[in-house]
Amino acid sequence: MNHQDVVAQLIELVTPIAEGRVAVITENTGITSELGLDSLRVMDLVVAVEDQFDISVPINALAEVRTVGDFASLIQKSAGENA
Amino acid sequence: MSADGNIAIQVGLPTPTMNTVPLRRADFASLAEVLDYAACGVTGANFYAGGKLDLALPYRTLRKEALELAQRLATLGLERGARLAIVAETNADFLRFFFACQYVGLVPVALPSTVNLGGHDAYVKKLRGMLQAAGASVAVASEAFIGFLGEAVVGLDIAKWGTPAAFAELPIQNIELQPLGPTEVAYLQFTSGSTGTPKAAMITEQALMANLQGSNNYGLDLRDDDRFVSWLPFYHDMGLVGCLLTVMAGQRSIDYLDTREFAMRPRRWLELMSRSKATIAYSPPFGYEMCARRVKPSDIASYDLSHWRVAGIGAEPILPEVPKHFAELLAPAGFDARAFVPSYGMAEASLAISFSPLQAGIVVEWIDPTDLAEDLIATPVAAGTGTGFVRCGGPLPGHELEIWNDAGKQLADLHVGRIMVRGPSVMSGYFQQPEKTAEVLAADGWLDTGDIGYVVDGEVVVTGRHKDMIIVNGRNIWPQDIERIVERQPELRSQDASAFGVPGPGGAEVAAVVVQCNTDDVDVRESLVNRIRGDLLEELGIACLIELVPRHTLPRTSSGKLSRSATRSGYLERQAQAQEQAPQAVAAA
Repeated sequence: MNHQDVVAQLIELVTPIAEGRVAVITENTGITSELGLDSLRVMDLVVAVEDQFDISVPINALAEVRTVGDFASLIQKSAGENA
Repeated sequence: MSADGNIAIQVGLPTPTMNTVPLRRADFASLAEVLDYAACGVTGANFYAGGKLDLALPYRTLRKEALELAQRLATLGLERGARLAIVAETNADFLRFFFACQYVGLVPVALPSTVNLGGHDAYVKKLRGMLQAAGASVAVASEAFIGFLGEAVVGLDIAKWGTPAAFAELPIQNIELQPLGPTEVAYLQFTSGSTGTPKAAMITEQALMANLQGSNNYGLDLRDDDRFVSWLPFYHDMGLVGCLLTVMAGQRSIDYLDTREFAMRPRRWLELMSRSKATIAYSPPFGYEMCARRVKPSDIASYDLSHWRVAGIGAEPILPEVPKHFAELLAPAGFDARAFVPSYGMAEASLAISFSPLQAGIVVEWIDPTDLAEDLIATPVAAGTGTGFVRCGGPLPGHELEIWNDAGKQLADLHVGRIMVRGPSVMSGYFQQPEKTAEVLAADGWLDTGDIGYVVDGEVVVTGRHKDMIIVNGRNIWPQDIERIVERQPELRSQDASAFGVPGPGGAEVAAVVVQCNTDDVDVRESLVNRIRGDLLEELGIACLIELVPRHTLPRTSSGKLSRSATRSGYLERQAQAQEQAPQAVAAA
């Protein structure tokens, strides 16, 4: 799975959770700063990601995630370790 | 027969509900005695992950491991009562370290294991503040959290920090252990106070035991067929005292679900309750609400909640609709609404202050909101009208609960004032903070709970807080924390932000902050709002309504301080006006 595929899938997952706060979500969109997801919404996103990519997202690694692109890299890393 | 005892404990199965030793309801002098007796039986703690049993830890095994770890910790040569801080995850290591401390004479303190998205620096800072406030000599974290801990301890006077594996490498010293005794501090519990100035309540062994006796006997009327389930974190007083120490002091088995797993998939809680035929579980109202909101109607028939006889509910104000909705939804699964036991408590009183009578369910007090706000009187009105508050029962035996006015005079029933508590489970004070202690705890033993309410028929009804705390998604948020984070922006100064709670959709509270700034530049304003939003989410994990106003427009009190209540009124007025003028635009904002 290349980075752009993961980003595209992630944008699809995050769009309904972000409830239209930002019109166009890209790799550089800030998940907290721009999309404004609170801790519960973040959990919803993590559930969606875990189901879609069949991975377990390590909670501590979320501390380093700021943008959609950061999260995509984390997904790639987690998927790589499972493979 | 098993290798480590004369009673078979089956591998791969959770510990049984029925024990082999007679039930003793917390009639012990210390936690070491609690575990010594629990270890004579076959019950224990079970940890679940992904819907499967990950580890069954019989108390007898825990005792053996805790004693061994205590011998290793003894080699550190720490003074008696030194603090061991542990990033508390829902796993066996927390129990091992907590009880090793009990045996070796150290004081454990649980640190939170919650980190927000992008919240690396904020979390490290929070850990560091807590390590300092607890004066910790030892610090422990799992592999997942050791990186954060390593940053948090830089420059602090810590004798040893590391993962549990690092502590397992300490040599064993075969000394005679002297467990913590009745008058010594059993643990420090961080309160739900502002994260900017953390406070840790000191709970002695005898205070804790008084509280556990109250909950085992009066509150829960513990039986030998009781079994617990919990998803509450150990760094929360309800998780530590209610769902670990209470349970062990009654030699019951418990099934643990990780808090994060519950937050992601609340149905796991109901699955586990069903599977283990558990009889007791607690949650803040928030947990019941999350379950009710997320549970799939098609799954309800597959649950069996008919054994659930005590559904504890407390730790935050209880909106009557929340338990009502949960009970209606889960009735087909055998959930009995009478199982709800509203209770009232806080870390400063070990945990429980009051329990509602068993099998009474939720009893709602319907009172006139105008009389409440203007005259501080609870005037009963017809059910379903006015404002509904939930009765939280009478104080534990041996404890007093009174309502005082601001002058310290005791008020009669139905008169609203400060809730004051006195009794053997009250804390000794906040660790190394005599001024903060003196603000809430008087020399004659009365604790000012910080809550307001009234008494009716010997039961307490909590109507609000006389501090400004905001509760969002079940977490206590302090306005001063929001303001501090907002004011860090380079273009802002101190006293440029005022935060408060406002009613959000569905009646739940939402945090709002009004910020004064002196720019009209749209891009700069947007950037400022985005930075504030991001910082609040990273540090506190909450979404906050943010309004920018021109400089020098935030209302102040006569003493020159920002007035949160006046700012709140102004904010609500502006929102109402905007709604009238452009309902669509506001709805889209």
